[in-house]
Amino acid sequence: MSTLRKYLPLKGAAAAVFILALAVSRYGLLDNYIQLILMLIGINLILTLSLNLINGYMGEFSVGHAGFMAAGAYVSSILSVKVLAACAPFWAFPCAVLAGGAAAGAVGLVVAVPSFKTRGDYLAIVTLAFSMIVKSVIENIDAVGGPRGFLGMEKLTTLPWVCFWVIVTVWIIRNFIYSRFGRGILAVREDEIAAELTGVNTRNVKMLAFVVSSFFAGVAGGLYAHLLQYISPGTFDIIKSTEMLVMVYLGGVGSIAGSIMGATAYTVLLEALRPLGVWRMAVMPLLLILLMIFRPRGIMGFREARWLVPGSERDGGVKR
Amino acid sequence: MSAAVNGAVRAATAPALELRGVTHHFGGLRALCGVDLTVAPGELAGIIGPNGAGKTTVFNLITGVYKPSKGNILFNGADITGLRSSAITSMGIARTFQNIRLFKELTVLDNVRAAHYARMKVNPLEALFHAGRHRAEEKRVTEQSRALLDKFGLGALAGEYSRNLPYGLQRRLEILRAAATGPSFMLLDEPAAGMHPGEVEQLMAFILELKRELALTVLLIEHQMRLVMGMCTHIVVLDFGMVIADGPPEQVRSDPKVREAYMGSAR
Repeated sequence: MSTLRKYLPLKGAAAAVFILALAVSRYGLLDNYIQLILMLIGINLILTLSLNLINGYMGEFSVGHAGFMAAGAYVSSILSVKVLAACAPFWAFPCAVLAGGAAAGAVGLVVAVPSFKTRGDYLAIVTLAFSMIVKSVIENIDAVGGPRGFLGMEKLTTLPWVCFWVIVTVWIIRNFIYSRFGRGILAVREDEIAAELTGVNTRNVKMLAFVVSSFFAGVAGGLYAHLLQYISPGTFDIIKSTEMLVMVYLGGVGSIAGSIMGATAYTVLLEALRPLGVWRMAVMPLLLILLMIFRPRGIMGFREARWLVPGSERDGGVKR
Repeated sequence: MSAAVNGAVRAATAPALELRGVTHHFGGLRALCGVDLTVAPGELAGIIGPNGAGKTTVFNLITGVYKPSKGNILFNGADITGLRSSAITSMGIARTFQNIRLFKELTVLDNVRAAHYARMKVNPLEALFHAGRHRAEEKRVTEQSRALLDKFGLGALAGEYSRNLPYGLQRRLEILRAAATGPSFMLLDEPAAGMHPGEVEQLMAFILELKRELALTVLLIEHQMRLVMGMCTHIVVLDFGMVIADGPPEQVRSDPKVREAYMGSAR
C-alpha cells in the first residue's frame, strides 16, 4: 500500500483534466459560451474554496471576500496593462495573477489582526466594513478609473489557465487542511480557548488562514479581470461576497468536494435559469432558504469525498 | 510561608511550579489574594476548597488565560507570568477543563494530533507545498498519537468523532490530549466530576499510570475527597481566594481551619 499508488489516481485525474482543457481551448472542441461557463465555474470554485477555509474550516464568518477579490483583480490588471504589457503573455499573465494573489494576501494579513480579538458576528461586521473600505478606496483613485472601472486587459484567461489555478488551489488548500496548521484552524473552530491551551498558537494559524484564503480570492480576481476584460468597484460589492457565501453553504462547509459541488451547481443553475429573466434572482435565494431549512450544513457539510482525502489520512478509519 | 510547611523533601530541589503572592481581581471582585503555592517536581498535589474559592482561577492564571493583577508565576524557575497560553503549553504545562472542552467535530485521533501543534517544526510553506519534511513529521505524529491512544485504551476509537464518546472516555481523551502536548506538568481541573465510584477508581489508576509513564508532576482540583486524600501527597486548601492550609493530607484533614471552611462547621 504505497502512498504513491494512493496518490496517483488523483494526480492522474488532475493531469487528464488539464490536458483536456488544453485540447478544448486549442482545437475549439466546445463552443465559446460553454468554455466561458466552465471558466466561471473554475473561478467560482477558487473563490468558494478560499471562503470555505475561513467560514467552513476555521468557523469564522467572513462576508468581505469580494474585497480580497477586488485587490487581486485590480493589482493584476494594473500590472498587466501598465507594466507587463510588453512581455510575452505566457509569462506575464501568471506573474500578474500571482502578484494579484500576493497583494490580496497582504490585505488579508491586515484583516487577520482584528480576528485575534473579535469573532463570530462581530468579525463578520469587520470583514463587511473592510470590503466597503476597499470599494470606496478604489472608487476614489482616479488613476485606475475610479467608479468608471478599469479596462485594457487582454483576454488572457483561458480554460487551461483556469484549470491550472483550480488544481493548484485544491492541492494547496488540501495540503493546508491536512497539516498541523489545518488541525490548528479546525481546533480554533471547535473551541478557541481549548486550542490555545493545547499549544496551538491561534494568532498564527488565523493569520495563515486569512493570508492563504485571501491569496486565492486575489488569484480568482486576477483571472476574473482577464476574462471579462473590465472591472469596476461595483463588480466587487456585497452581492459578490453573498454569491460566494451561497456557493459555500450550498456545497457544504468544511469540505473541498462540497466547494466543488457548490460552485458548479450555483454557476450552472444561474445560467440554466436565465430564461426565467428577473425571476432567476428570486429562485436562487429560495433555493438557499430551502437548503438552510432542510440541510443547513450544505450538501457535503463537514464531509469529504473519499478521493480527495490524502491516502495517509484515509486508512485506519480516520474520518473527517 | 507555604514552602516551609512540608519540609526537607521539597526544599532539596527547585520547585516545578511556584506562585508568589499571586493576586487577581475581576473588576471589583477579588478572586485571589496573595496566594503562595509551591509544587515540587514529581509531586501529585491537589487544590481543594469550597465553591468559588478561586481554584479554577489559579489554573487560569498558571496557564495564561488571565494575567495576574499582582504576583509572579514561576515554572521550573522561569517566570511565565503574562505569557501567551500556547507558549506556556509549549514550555510543558498542559491542562484539562472543569467542563470537558474537546474538539467535538474532530476525531479522537485528530484531537490528539492537534495537541502536537507546539511540538511540530514544519513551517507553513513546507506544509502548503507538501514537502518531504512535512510528510515525515505528519507520519511521526500520527504514529505517536496512535501509540498514545493504544496505550491508554482509546486506540479502537481513534477514528470516532470525539462527541460520540461516552462521558468517561471524553474525560480520558481530554487528559490524553493534554498529554500529547508533551508536558512535564499537568493541571487537572476536577477530572472525576460527574463520575460514579467505579469510574473514579479507574480514573485514579489511569492518572497514576500516566503520571508514571510520562514522568509528570500533577496538580489537580477535585471535590471528591476519596480521590484527593487517596492520591495526593500534598494538598493546598483555598478559601475566599486565600491559602488556609498547605501540607500532607493527614495534616490538612485535621486542620481546624479547613474543617470549618471546607468540610463544614455542621460536623
